[in-house]
Amino acid sequence: MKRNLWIGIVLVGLNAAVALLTLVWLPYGPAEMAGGRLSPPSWAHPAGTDRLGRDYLTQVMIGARIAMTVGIGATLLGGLIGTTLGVLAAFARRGLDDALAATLDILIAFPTLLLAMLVVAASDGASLWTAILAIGLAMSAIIARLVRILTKRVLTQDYITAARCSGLGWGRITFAHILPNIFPTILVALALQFGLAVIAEASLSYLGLGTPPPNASWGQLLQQAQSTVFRAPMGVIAPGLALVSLVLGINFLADGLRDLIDSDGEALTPDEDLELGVKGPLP
Amino acid sequence: MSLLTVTDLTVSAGPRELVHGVSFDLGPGERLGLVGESGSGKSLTAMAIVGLLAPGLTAGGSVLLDGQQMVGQPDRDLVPLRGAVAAVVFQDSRAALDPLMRLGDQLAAPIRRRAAREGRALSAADLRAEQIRWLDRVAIPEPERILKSWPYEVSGGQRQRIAIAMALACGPRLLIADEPTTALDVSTQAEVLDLLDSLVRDAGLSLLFISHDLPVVSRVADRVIVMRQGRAVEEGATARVFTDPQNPYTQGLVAAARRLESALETPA
Repeated sequence: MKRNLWIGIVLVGLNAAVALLTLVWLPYGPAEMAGGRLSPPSWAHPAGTDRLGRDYLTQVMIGARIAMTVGIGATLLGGLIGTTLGVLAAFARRGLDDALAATLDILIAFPTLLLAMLVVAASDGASLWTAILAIGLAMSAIIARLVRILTKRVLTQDYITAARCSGLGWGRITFAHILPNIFPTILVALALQFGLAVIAEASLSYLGLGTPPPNASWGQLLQQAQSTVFRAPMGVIAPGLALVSLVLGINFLADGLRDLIDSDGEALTPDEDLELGVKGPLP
Repeated sequence: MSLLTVTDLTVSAGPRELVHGVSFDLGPGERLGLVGESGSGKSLTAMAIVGLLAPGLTAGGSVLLDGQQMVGQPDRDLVPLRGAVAAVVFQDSRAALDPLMRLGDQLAAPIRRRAAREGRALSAADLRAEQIRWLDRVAIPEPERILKSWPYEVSGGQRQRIAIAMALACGPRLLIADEPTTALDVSTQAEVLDLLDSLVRDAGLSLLFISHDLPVVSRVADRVIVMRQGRAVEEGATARVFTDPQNPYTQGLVAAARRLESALETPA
C-alpha cells in the first residue's frame, strides 16, 4: 500500500504550491488594510480579516512560504551537520566517540527554545534565519545520534571489510558505501524532522522568536488572533488548519517512505525506530 | 624470498589471547591450506595478515607481507598493500557485496584502482572491456545483464564468482580465500572451487585457503596447517597430513572425513 505516501505527497505538494504561488501572486498585499475590521468570511475575504482589516487568507498563504522555508532550511542544515558529526563520531576512537555521544545527548536534552533565544540574542533579533539556525542546530544533534548508530552498524558489514581488503581508504568507503547505505533511513528521519521543524517554527514565532511582521508565520497569526478568537474564529482556524495539513502531510510522507524502505527488506531495528520518531526539535 | 612470513602471530581480545603464536611462510605460487573447526582462529589469522582485525582485537608477533611489517603499523601504511599485494574472498558473498551498488560498479572499483596504481589511463570503453573480460574469466554468462544487476538479483554462486573476480581484479600476488565455498550448495561448491583453483594457477598467485572442510582443502592446497583452539597443531604436505596424520586431533578430523565419505558412498 502506497496510500500514505500519496496522501503525504498531495498535502505537502499543496502547501509547497501555495508557498511558490506567494512569490508571484497574492490576493492582497500583506500589510494592506483590504477590508473592514474583523469582517467575517466573504467572497472577497474567504477567511475574513484581522483587527486591522488585513486579509487572513493572504497571511496564511505567506505563512505557508515561511513554514516551507524554515522547514527546508532547518532540515538541510540539520541533515548536513548531523550526518557529518554522526559519521565522524562513528569513526572516532572509543574515548572521543563516548565524549561525542554524551555531548549529543546533552544537546538533545537542551531545549530548542533556549537555543533559539540564545541565537536571537547573539544576532540582530528574531528573523527567518535565526529560526532556521536554532531549529537546524537542535535537529543536527538528533540526526547525528541516529547517523552514528547507523554508521556503526554498516561498519560491521562484510562489504566494508571486503572494500578495505581491496585497498580502499576510509574516505572513499564513506562516500561509496556508507552514505548510500544509510541514506534511506536518514531520509525518513529527515522527513519526520521536517514536520517537527514546522511545529517548532510555529512555536517560536508564537513566542515572538520567529519571523517578524508583516511577514507573519502561522504561529504568529495564532498568537495575534487569540485575543479575538470569539469574534473572528477564522483567524485561529485558518492558520491552524494550514499547520495541521502540512505537518500531517509530512508525517504521511515519512511513513510512506519508511514503508517503501521496509518493503525492500531494510527493516529498522527497534532501537533505530525509536531514534527516528521519539524526539524532535520542539521547544 | 617468501611473499608472506608469519612469525609467532598472536591475536588477543583484551587480556584474552585467541591465537597463540602461529608461524608459517608462503612463497610465490605456493598454496597453503588453513584447516580447523570454527573458533580455531583461522579467520583471525587471515584478517591479521591484512591488518584488518575487528575493533577490540589486537595482533602481536610479526607478519611480513612482501617484506612489509603488518602488525602494529598505522592503517594508512597498510592501505597501499591491500589489494595490490593481498586480496581476500569472503565466505558470504551476499554480505561481502554492497547491497545498494550495481555489480558492474562494484567490479569497476578494483579495475580503476589497479589502473591508477599502474599509471594506466582507463577510458570508459577500456573499463567496459575489462569488466566483461573478468566476468568471462569467472565463467558468468550474459555479462551485460549481470553488470547492470543488483547483488540480490543473481544467484549465490554467481555472487561468489563476482567476488572472486573483484579480488583478482585488484591484481594481488596473494589471494586469501576465507571459506569461499562454505555458503554454497554442493554442486556450485565444486564449480567455484575448480574455478578458483584454475584462476590462481594460471596467474601464478600464492593462495591461502581457509576452510573447515578437509576434502575441499586437499583439492586446492599443497601444504596444510591444522589449527585448533588458536594453535597450529600440525603442519605438512597435504598428502602426508591426510594419509599419515601425527597429531591426535588431526587423526580424529581425518577419520571423521573418511567416515562421512564412505557413508555417502554406501548406497542406503
